[in-house]
Amino acid sequence: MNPVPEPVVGAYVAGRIDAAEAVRLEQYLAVSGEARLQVGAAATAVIDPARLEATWLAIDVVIDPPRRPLVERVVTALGFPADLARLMAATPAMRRSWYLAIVGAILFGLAAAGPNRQGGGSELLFLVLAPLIPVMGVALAYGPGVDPAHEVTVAAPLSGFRLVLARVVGVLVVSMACGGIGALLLERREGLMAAAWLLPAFGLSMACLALTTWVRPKTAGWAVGGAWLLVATTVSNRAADQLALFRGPGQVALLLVGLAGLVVTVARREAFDLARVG
Amino acid sequence: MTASSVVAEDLRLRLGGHDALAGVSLTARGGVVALLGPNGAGKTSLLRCLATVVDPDAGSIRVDGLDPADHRQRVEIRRRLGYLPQEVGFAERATVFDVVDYCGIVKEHGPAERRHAEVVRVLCAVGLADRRHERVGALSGGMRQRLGIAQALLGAPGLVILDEPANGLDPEQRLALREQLSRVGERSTVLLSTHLTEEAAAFSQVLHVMDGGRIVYSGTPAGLTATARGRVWTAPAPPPAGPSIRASWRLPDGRFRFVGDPPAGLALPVTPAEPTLEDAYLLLVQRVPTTIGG
Repeated sequence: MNPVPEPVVGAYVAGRIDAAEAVRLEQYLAVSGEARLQVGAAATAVIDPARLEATWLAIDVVIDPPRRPLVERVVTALGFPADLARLMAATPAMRRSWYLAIVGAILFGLAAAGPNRQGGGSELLFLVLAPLIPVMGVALAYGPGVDPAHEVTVAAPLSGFRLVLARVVGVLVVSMACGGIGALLLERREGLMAAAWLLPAFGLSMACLALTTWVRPKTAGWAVGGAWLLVATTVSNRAADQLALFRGPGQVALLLVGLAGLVVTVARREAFDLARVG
Repeated sequence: MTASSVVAEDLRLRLGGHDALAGVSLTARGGVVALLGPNGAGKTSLLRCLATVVDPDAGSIRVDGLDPADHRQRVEIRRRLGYLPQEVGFAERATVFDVVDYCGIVKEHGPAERRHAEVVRVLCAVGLADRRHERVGALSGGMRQRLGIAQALLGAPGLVILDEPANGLDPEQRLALREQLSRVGERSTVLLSTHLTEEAAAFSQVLHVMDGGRIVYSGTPAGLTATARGRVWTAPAPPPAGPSIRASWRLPDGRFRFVGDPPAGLALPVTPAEPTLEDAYLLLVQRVPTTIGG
């Protein structure tokens, strides 16, 4: 086979070759190893090696993309887009909150099956503690002191509010599912109001989210969690019915708290776009 | 993307009961602009304001004519911005590739394939491509810093803001950083902070020295060095301590070098010495005088 004329090789590697001639050359390259070596040598001489390396690696990444972490694969398997899964799972603290929810469900299950369970104690304990799991998740979803890359995230064009919502949805889905499992385990022996913790969970989570527009997320989590425990303990000790907080009027009040929190969060959503949240 | 223009006027910010910024104004367009100053001078506060992550209490900022006080314009500025905060961390268990890819997602760098190619490009640029599958927890401090720089370079932004980028880098890595940022400065505006005078002198075209929340010098590194001419001396013995002596130390040849004006009536025979940027910086930033090796 004949070598390719040098001017043609030069024009080809410089990207100045006519399209028709490029097609002819590439057909020839497919059959001539000598011509491939000739063009390869010419390309190496003019192309920045660093750029060449980056190009090869980019091709490698496209052909053989890095394996995504387990949590992201689980989230993607649930039907969420891959990029959203990465946004949701990026905060280590949030992954911990998911694990916490799972552990919480297991503990509730064990408590329900335990031999020392008496009266309505474990029922009340579950109703008081279960709503705190999503609150912890919300407090660990976004913000300074929680997300190590928080300031980099804030300086990016993606809306902080959208990111918060994505992560909060992730938190609520996992913690509600785990809480639901715990509730079902208890219900068999106590006749528990299986869904009575859901509105408190919603109310407290939204209150926590609203508070994070003023203070650090962990502070908001402690404040909301502490206030809830105080109210729940007081009501259960003073009211004739230990579960009064979880019946009609209490549920309505917590729904209103949740809606108010949601309104405040939406109204103050731009606070998530600045580093000085809290 | 072309180099962004940055105009800041009379920025003021109070933090923790003191003035972090007490009326700072600066302009920049293209090239490498260094902010030099002691700890607590206000460098980080200024960069955080310019990076739109903190709103100043007063004053105005324009990046390419866009006002970050307006939400939509702030988002547009962020599309042109690469930012390395002073304290940046990444999830320890995440891989190098995943961390930069996450940053690519929040920076809205398009579909996965194009974004992944860009991730590889910046990892090559900082010399971390070979470690793309390693976990962040396995990286040294210098490598983590380079990882932070890599994410700031995603998308070849018109404005690159780097807070203490040389932190944790060894001398070889610092040289690589200079080379890298010099190249970036040819097509972008690079604003970086440092407390290392040699870093500021090495490759910045413009230098701003900050102290007490104010800019106390703006100009070229050579111009700053020139301000110390005639105020740096050597003498065969240590000079008496006095308010006019900013610093003094023993040289390898046994003579003493001192920075500052010789006290009136000094009996020692003094010889003028060629000032360095560090000498000029010491004379500019008013702090307690330092004597080493006396």
